[in-house]
Amino acid sequence: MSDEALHSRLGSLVEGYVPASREALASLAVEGVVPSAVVAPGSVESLAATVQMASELGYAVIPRGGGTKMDFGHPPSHADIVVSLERLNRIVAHEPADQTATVEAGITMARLQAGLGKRGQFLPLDPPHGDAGTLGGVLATNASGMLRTSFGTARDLVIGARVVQADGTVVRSGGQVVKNVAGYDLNKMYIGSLGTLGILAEVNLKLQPLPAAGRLLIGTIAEIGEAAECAFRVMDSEVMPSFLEVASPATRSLLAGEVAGPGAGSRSDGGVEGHLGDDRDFAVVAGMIGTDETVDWQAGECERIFRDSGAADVISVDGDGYRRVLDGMRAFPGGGLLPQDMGPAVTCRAGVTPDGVEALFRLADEGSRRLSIGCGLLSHFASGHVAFVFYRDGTFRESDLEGLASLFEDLRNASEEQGIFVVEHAPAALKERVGVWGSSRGNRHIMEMLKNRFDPKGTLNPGRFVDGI
Amino acid sequence: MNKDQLVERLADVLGRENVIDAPDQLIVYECDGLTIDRNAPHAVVYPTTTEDVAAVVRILHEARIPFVARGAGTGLSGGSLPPDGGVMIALTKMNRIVEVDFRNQRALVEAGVVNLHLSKETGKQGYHFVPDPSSQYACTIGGNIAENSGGPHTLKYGVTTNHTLGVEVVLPDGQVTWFGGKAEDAVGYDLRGLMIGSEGMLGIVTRAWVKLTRLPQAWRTFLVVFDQVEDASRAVASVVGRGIVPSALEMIDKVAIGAIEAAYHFGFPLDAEAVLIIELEGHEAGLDTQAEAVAEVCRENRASDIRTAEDEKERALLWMSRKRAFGAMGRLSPSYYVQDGVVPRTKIPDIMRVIQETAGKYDLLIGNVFHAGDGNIHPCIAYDDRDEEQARKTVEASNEILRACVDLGGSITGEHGIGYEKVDLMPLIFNEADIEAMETVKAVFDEENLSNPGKMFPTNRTCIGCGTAELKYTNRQAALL
Repeated sequence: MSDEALHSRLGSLVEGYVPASREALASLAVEGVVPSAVVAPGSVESLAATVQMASELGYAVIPRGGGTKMDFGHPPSHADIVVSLERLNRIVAHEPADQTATVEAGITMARLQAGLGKRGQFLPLDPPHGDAGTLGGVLATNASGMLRTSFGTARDLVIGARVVQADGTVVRSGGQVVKNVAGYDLNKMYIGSLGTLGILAEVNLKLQPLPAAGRLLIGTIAEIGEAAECAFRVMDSEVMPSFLEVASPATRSLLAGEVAGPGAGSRSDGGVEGHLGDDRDFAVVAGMIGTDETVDWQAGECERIFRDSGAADVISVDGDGYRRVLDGMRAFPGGGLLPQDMGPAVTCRAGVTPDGVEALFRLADEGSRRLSIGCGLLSHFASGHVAFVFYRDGTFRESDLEGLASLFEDLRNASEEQGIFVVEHAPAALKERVGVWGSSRGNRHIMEMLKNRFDPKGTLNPGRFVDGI
Repeated sequence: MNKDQLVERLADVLGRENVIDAPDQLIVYECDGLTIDRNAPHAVVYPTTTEDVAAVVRILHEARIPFVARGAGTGLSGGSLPPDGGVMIALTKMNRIVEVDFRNQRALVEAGVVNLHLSKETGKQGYHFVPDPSSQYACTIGGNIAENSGGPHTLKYGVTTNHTLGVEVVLPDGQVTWFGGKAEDAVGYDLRGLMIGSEGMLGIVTRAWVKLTRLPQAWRTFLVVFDQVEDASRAVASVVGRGIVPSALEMIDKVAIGAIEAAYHFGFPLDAEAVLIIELEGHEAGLDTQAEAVAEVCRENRASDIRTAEDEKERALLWMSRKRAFGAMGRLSPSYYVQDGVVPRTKIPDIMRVIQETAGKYDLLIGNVFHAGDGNIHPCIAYDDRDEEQARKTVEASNEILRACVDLGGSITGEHGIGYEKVDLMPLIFNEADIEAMETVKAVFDEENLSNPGKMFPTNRTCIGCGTAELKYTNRQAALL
């Protein structure tokens, strides 16, 4: 079919469709593959009709949310129609007493949280790109943030979904109630599948009440082994923090800037006075939410543990400062806690057991220093999650990429003893060298079969996922 | 391969002492906690290792003989009802806690480990395994994983899937693999998430890494008494609507109170129409403030009395009475039939009215003991299984209640599973395309349909969408009589 015929078909399926300019399409290229059309359906039915048409005519569909993670994964083998979910952006229902909501997937995380917050609740999921990123993009990549320590990941929070399958059929999984074991738990399968099995169009979510109070306690410790030990002590205590982070020296230093605030320590804009570590110090950050009384008690207990663990500086942040510092930390590594005037950063994540975090910090620290490349690290420690960011002034040179490739091999070898190491934002040349996803551990056959059965024509995001699925 | 040859081959692998096939010994394995449906397996085997399970499954796969895994047999939906001509793989001898890693707060257990044993083993160090089904003193973690079990305390902490990091699986062709593992976030599709709650239909879980959770510092447990079921029901939604997340919020009605009191003499008020058990957990600091907020909500909803469990002993007795409530219901009639519907918690007043009306309409005694905070009802219908008319009415009343749950925006099962019992109710909540998606998954894992066949999916496909889905009664008469 010619591009004109495709535009005409899309025009008949999607209200308000206007063919995009050549420049606009070029800007939507996925890892260098330029699409022929971009379309934004205004309803689930219109989305389904678009996918059905693409499937029948053999076009590859690239679902898109806020566009913050379009470079995740391998380059697609085909990319014909970019299907944007930006118009599917409503909170369809929110029942506070049930602690549930039904939401269209194209809503940005920021708008979702603002909407839920009006009625005293929130979705306890705080991934990077929380401003422009959409719920659908977060679910497709199973992105998570600090709150996973206490509330889990998207797989723990989505209770039902409406999914547009590769042939355009709309199916439902789960339900609208917080407890439900009817049928297979297909929600889990779709979440984190990078849109390769179906497009999440609408989801039912389990919510939490907004806490009355929140506070951060930051302690600085000179050595990573001692910082990890400190975090283990908090885990094993009665504190039960809502999050527990360990930050590398570079990240700690930027965090110290956030804590001081734009007015450098002025109380009026939420800045907090106080020294927060020296050059080579790590930081342990514990977050407490709840009522004032429990937050007070936890902060006191936590400070005692920090001091006993050898923390040099301990700073407590609440009120406006708490929200500002939290926003900075949440944005890491997607923009928060990064130095100014740097070129495009390379980001990765690892999932290991908590006692595997220290080794990854050491490897990344040694490796980046050897390469003279900037490196920031933040670990959601109790979940064994480590986010890495590598940067330099200007773009990476060929020799940098070579060095990073060898460092990533080491990080992957160390991670895959128990867990995973995934390259997220990175130049195509680097991804080609080290791969993106790592090992599917003997389950490749099952995953390929799932893809083949759910998307026999390879309509959805072909080639971008694990093992080139 | 005939039956004798099969038994011989299984005995070669496991030893004769780990294979039983004598009809009188098989009677125990004819059913699980859903005694209304029965079917004897060809044989029952007791593997002791993952390799044993894999060897058995390879034999069965080669001979195309269906099989079903079984834990303690406490399931309530016929999930481990043996398939015709099938072999039952009992995992009760795989009951080792392989490794407890307190530092990383996780444990590796075999599928046959009893749920409560893990919490007892780790309790001394201040940890527990959160899912706490009422049968936890007997049920196995493998069974919890198959059914994605809940329990009273899952209101705050989540169900089995939220506490399971990885599962070792013997696939239906006998291959062994891990989905997930000791660490979180395995690469690729979430096969771990798919496996949990798949009712033994995608393979057999032999070992699992599960999360251990720090025991709370403090708790407050209340028994709140109401003169009207309606008031108690409203109090449930009000507590949660006020932004309070109790660790457990259970309701017991008058019929069940009578049965429990007769059995365990806890001191429940016999003249109350309903009581709520509300438990708060957390830090000592601030807990009394929260407790006062809960008490206020209860008083606003016309609670006639609020009692507090004085010590750990009283609290334990209260929970024991609650968790063994179904057993106590046995005092009221020769048999009882428990349902497991769910409604949004704001609809509890509505569903309680439906249950009352249904009891009246069919002239049946229905007791209610359930996870009100989750909206997960457990109407327990007392009946005499020797009375065919009453048995028929029991199933019909059950149907009617589950239909009402769906009409109120809920589901037909919150924690017991579809099993065999509710296969023909699936069309109430899923259409043909929804069910096909699930069958696609089944076919990927188990093309030959050997692993626990006959469960979950509706048998009468012409019925889909026609709105006449109901629990099969006719097939059951033989078993009931």
